[in-house]
Amino acid sequence: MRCRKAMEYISRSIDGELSERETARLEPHLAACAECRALQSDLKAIVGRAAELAAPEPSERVWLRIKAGLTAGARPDRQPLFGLSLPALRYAGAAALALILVASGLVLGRRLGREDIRMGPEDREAYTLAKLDEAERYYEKAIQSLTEAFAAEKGALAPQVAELFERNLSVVDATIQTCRRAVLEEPDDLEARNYLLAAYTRKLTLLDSALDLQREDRAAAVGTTII
Amino acid sequence: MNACSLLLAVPGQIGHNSCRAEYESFLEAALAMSGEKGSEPVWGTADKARLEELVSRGRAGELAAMEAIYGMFKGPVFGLVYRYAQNRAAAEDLLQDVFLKIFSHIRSVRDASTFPAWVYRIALNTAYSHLRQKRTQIEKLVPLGDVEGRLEEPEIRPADRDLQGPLEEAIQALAPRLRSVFVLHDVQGFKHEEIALTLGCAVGTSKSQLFKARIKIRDFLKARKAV
Repeated sequence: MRCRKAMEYISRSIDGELSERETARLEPHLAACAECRALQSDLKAIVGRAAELAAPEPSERVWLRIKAGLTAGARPDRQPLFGLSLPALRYAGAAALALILVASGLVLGRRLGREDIRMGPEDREAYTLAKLDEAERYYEKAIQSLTEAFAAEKGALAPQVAELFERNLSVVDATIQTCRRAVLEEPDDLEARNYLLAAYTRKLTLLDSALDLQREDRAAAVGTTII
Repeated sequence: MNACSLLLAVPGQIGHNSCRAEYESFLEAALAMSGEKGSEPVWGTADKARLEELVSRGRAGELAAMEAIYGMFKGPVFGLVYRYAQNRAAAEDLLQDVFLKIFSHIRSVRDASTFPAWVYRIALNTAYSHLRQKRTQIEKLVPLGDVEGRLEEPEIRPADRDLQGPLEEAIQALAPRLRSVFVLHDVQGFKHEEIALTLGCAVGTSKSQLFKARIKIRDFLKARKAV
């Protein structure tokens, strides 16, 4: 028996999957091959340790968030409720509202597109565009709230982090401006609208990450853990 | 291509409008085919009668049944997605996403015996999607965390005490597919038949991937003199 085959047999033997015949073939190889004996010993140890690895339990608030999502018929905000400052809570509310509006606008727009009910094609498009306008306003509001939350504790970030954040932010802002110009040129272009909303989402994510860093730094400063 | 491998092709973001109809049709096909085969349920650890009752009540929209289903699966699903998330907060977000997807599609479940495999498939799709999103974000933006020396820290930060140690690091270093098989089999104790059903692959593939995963983990640990 070659070592490669023996290695497979060793792995299977740990799970008790070797037949008597296969075991009888493996044993002489093990007796003669120190490397395969070492492998057997290591794999046994690894499998034993794997079975004893911690089984982490999620915190109770996960179910509360799921339940909120189920009862509201929409996904709750991702952020944990605890430890959020007032501007961040305002952001959470505004962001959730923006997402709900975007989702409802798109779903309604598509549903109206599928179901031929009273609205004509132009009405349907106008309705979708109006909803997207509404969503855009809420996105802007969410970004504003989050920017305020970030600005309130901007000093908490190391200077080089703040500088990098500004650089990233300027890239995202430039993207938003480009998308906005495209939307202004072609207000009926749904694709341009979607790109603009995606750019807003990117900015929210960036601000969100920066806020996370602030929170982590603050928690580290007072010796607490962040969950 | 069987129904399970069809499910593999479904994007993780099933909440996305454009994917929803496609996903639901895949799901129905998968569940119908599983039922047609008349295969015995292989999830020996689940209380089948209780699960059947809970799924039935969950399909009717009963919140208490959903909570009981969550209680039944939250531990192993959390242990699985945690190994793709790097920290507890992200893992809890993933867990929330997984169960919101499950409960928004539970009406599609016709046979409770396929339910556990379906749950883990959604969990893995969500985890893979998270990895893809993370990779895209890293490609597009300079991570703020990098400049604080976080790259020099171990991947698992002190705040995430749950998954510390060289074996956990070795698991994190595995390719996603190998990681899934190793976690499901060696950490959580699933059978190859169950893993094959979840991943939509042959039992032999699950075995060979487990072998590869164990060898890679051993190499990782040996390089760090941890085995």
